[in-house]
Amino acid sequence: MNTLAVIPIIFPLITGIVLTLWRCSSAYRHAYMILSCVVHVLFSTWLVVRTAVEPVIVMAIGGWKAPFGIVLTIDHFAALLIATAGIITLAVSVYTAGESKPPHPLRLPLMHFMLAGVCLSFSTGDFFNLFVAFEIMLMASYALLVLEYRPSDLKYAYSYLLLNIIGSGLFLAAGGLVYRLFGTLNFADISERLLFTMGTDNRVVIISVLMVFVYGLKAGMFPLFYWLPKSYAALPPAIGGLFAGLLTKVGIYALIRILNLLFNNDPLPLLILFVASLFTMIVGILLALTHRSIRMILSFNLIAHIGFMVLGISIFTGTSIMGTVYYMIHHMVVISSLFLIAGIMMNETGSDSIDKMGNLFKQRPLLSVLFGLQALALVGIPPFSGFWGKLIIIASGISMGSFIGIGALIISSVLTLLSMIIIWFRAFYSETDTVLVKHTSSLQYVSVIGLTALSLCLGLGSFYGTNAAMRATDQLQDLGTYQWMVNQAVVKPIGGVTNDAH
Amino acid sequence: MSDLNLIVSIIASLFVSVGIYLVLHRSVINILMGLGLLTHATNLLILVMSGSPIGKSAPIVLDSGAQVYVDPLPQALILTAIVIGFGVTAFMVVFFYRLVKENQRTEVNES
Repeated sequence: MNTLAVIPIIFPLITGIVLTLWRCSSAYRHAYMILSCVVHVLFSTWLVVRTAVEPVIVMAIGGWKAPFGIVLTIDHFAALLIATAGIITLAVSVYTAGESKPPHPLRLPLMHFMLAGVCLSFSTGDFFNLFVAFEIMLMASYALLVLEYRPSDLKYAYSYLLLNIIGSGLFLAAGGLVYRLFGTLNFADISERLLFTMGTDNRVVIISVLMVFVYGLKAGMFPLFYWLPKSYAALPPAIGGLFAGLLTKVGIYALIRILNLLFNNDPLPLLILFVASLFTMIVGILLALTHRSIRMILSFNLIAHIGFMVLGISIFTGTSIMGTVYYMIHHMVVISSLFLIAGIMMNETGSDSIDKMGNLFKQRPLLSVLFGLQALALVGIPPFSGFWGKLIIIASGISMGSFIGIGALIISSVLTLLSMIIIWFRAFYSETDTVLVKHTSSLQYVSVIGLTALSLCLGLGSFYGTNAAMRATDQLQDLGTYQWMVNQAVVKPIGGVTNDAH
Repeated sequence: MSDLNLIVSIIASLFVSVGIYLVLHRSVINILMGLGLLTHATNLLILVMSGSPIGKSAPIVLDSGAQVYVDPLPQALILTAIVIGFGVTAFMVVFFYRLVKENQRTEVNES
């Protein structure tokens, strides 16, 4: 059964290859893609259900025993994120299928290659494999970026490419240092050796600071987010939603996973994260208020909310990690759907700037309701999904006495509300002479409605949500069971191959 | 640390400094060269991480009686990293080519 852990990675890869080679009419391609996404979502939901009661699913790739071969490990946290990533790709696929202008033929396969890379980074149990997963994801995103840009926007891809390539180089260097220090690249093995031999070694701190830099760069943390807003805002909204939902969260995921393994009671990495999160929250949201392009506003909101998650990580207690997990899943869903809603708004009004929009509330009531619900969820008004994650982070912050962080989080939330109100009054509620054209197909509405319903479920079903987040955190912090599960994952040799090959 | 590893480390650090210097330029050729140097500096760093090769034989298991082998894993890592780095560099070359054709100049500029 454990072999099934490879399905969430293999499946999008196969779909990507088929869609690259299979050039038939676009209706068939879209149908195939949506079908494949549905299967992916169903399978990953099964993984979520299974990991909720059972221990970590471990698969030793190629039958090589754990510290020597690469293992895939899917715990509840990874399964939840894989499922959410699958749902977002499904929504974006449905949205793309409804677009009036057929997309570039390579968009569909590249989306799936990206999903494969994202799922591999969520489920890998090996440090170098994590690097490879990041590279798969980034290569697909580079290609999507360059294909989807208008030629005049190509210059915005430059900072994205350059900063991410340098980040990958540092990631690789960190991998080399990890191997030298621990003699292994396997997560379980690293944590075991950290526990028994080098609990107070300062070199571990150097490596964790390097990791904080690399993953902070990928997540869009404060001094390192330069590449994010312009490159996301120039993308078509569908792909922007996909990027905003998946890519930065992989950085956050890796930050949680690696700090959880490498943390040796030295406060330096957490202090760096804490200071960075303060600036990310405040600077991100202030920059959001200065822009009038709706995609720019959403991109800066994304950065500000990355700050919430980084704050949750920097407090680093069980409760705060739990809040971060909840908030992450909520944020993936909500920010993607807001990008998709922005896409519909741009379709209808023919403009990106909120100053040129108007009258949407009277003429598009459904869209307005959807936007209103998702904006409230993004801000974190009580029954909606953003509230619960923030509440848990705030509660853990109060118990740890980090009131500066809590204050910054609350200020940033209030300013998020302000930026959403600005969009609401400019684009939806204003009486302008904007002529709305009907460009949006029902499929696009279906995808947005689906994501909104999911975010409502996340908010109203907070009991199940917190239970799932708690289960994910418990499993994440229970390193003993994790090590045991990884070490005992022996797979029977295939075809009786022996080692004395001559 | 043996002399050999010391020399390789110094070369790697030189690569990093020259690479960062080149990446900070505006000309696309300089940036490409800088990225290449940074990638290779990382590869050299991993090579150093495999320890001193003096007195060890290549990691090929034969009946030659060799007892001590060089650690083969960093070499495998470097091989993968070189392949990925090659792909990324090729992509960057094409990207810069399009950028230069679009902007009609060999410098990158966001404004």
